[in-house]
Amino acid sequence: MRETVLRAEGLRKWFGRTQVVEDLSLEVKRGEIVGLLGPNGSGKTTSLRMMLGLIPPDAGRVTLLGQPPQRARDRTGYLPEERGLYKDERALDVLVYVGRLRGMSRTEARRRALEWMARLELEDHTRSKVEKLSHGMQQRLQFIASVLHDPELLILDEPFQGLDPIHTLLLLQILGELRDQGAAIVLSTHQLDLAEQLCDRVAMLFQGRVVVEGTLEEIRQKFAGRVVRVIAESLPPDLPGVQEIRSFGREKKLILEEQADPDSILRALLERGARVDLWERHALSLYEVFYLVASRA
Amino acid sequence: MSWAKTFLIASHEFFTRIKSPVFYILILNPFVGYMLIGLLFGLMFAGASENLELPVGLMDHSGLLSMLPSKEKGDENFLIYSSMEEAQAALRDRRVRALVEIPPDYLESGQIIIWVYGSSSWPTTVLVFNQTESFLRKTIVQNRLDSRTARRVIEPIDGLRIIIADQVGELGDLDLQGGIFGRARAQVQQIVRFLIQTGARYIILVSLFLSNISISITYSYQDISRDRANRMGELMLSTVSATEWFAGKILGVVLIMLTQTLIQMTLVLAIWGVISWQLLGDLTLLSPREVGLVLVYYVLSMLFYVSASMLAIVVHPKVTPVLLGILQLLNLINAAVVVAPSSRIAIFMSFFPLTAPGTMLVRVLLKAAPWRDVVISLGVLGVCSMLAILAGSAVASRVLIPGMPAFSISRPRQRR
Repeated sequence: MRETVLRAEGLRKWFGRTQVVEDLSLEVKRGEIVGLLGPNGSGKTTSLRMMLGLIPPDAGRVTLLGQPPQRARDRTGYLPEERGLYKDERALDVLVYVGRLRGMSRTEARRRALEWMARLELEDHTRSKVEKLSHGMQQRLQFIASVLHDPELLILDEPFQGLDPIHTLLLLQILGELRDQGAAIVLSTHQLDLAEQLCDRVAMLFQGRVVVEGTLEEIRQKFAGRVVRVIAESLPPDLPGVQEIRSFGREKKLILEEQADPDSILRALLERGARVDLWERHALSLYEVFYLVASRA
Repeated sequence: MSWAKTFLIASHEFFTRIKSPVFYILILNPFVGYMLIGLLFGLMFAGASENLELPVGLMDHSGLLSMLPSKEKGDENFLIYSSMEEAQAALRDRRVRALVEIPPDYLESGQIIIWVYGSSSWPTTVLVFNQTESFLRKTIVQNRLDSRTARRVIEPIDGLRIIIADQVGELGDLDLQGGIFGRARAQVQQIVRFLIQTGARYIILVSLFLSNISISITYSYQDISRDRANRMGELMLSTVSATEWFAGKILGVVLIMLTQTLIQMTLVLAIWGVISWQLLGDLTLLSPREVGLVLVYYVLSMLFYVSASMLAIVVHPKVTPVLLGILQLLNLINAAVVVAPSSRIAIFMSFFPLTAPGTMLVRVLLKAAPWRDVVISLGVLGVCSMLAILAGSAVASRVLIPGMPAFSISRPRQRR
């Protein structure tokens, strides 16, 4: 049985009169990647900050590696959504400074920083000032700052933001390797296709609440049969049991209501005299699940 | 709390600052200021020298001059009058540029009265005063009059002890006949001598310390703003505790300011030492006890002001400029303590947390701080500094983490 690295129970947070996070519970084990997904303002960043102990929850409890988050700082890595490094300092110097703050010796921090810079194709920029680096390079540098000290838990807020496709793939590969080495990873992202490739489990947040949680398979299973691909002539807009019709040229996708039976809908369609060339139950992508969840919520 | 992390943050702040040219500009800043003040004095004296070719009227009620042989009474810089009406008429008609009145009780009181006209009265008075002093020494002391008269003459104005007895001969050689430049040089020498002997180095050090404390408040603001502008808050606070971060920042500013002050003090004392050696033949610096006490106080003052200003910065960004302005003002009004360092107001300010550091620094420098006051104010400062650090740490995350409300009151209400 794998060790639980992060355990959040019943987290709640209010900012003034607004409840930002409502009863969030999450468990992340060693060697697991968990995606925290949700639209803007759904409470992802606040949840991550509470998990790290950056802001205290109004209710609930977090433990990292069996300890309060404040005591596990040197064993966790964090990539904040609001990127920031000292812009007027040299890239390598900033990394060494952050590494030393995480408890590494200067020599070790420097050695690891150089290794990671080479891995992320920044070896030619060790002496460049941060402000001279491109947005994507700064993003990679910031990622190095979060993994430099070999954390057991890695929390990444929008890690793919600003990366080109090549470096996105590189980061996907690195995160997979870190997982294989036993790191527990929690990430939030809008790029659901990447989350689909990477995450073992996901939790979808909507307006501060977890609305869906589980492995990708569990989620797909849960929403199986909710979308049907159709190619048909004169598709009536008011079919019973159909929540929405999305058009992709000749092909349409019918999003069905929660308890609707696709066979009954097909029968109703044929009874109305429609000519149906294709009727196929569709395996949902995370985007479609997300859309369904958001529209239901 | 990890002190290793705190010192790491402090050393990072220190070395970042020390690599910046601004650090060196600020070191030289007070010296440029003193030079400008010196230049201003020079210009004022130059303005007062417009009618330098006119003699000074002299009206003696004391009978001092009548003791001299008649041949010694002559001096082209002075016109001696026999009646006050005649002398005042000469001043009104601008035949003399000032009138020196030696009262009947001059030998007892040491006071003379200088009558002047015009907007440049203060520099004229200083010039006339010095010329009178030299005239009296030259004409009376060098004529070897009795010791009581001679002693009075070398201290002509009550409260301004400018020269000491064994320097009479040297001062008697001041070249008052050498034209404007010769006279100006003589004036400058006298003023510097006056400053050295009246302990003006303390005033210079007070102004240096207080201005450096003001600079430290600015440094604190820049440090926090740098982390905020670079969005380092989240990364830092996920790495170290708010207390470690806050204490590290404070320690960094204190270290850099101490370094800056140490360099400046060395320069001040070196320049001062050279001048005093040149003019007086000895070094008039601070005693080791004074240096030690001032250093202890300065470190604590800096610690308190930097903590208080960091607290002011992280409380709420919108009110930061107002709070820092108040702190700067409270720091600078401590300079007023120079006037009466043992007064009740000064004692009250010594125990009021926001003025205690600066006030006590001034009082210690002026040797007007009894041990009781030192101990009480140190206690107040220590407690207040700790409270400021704890309060600052508690609210730091609200300002440093983007998107966080500066003040939020959590209420258990549902979102919708």
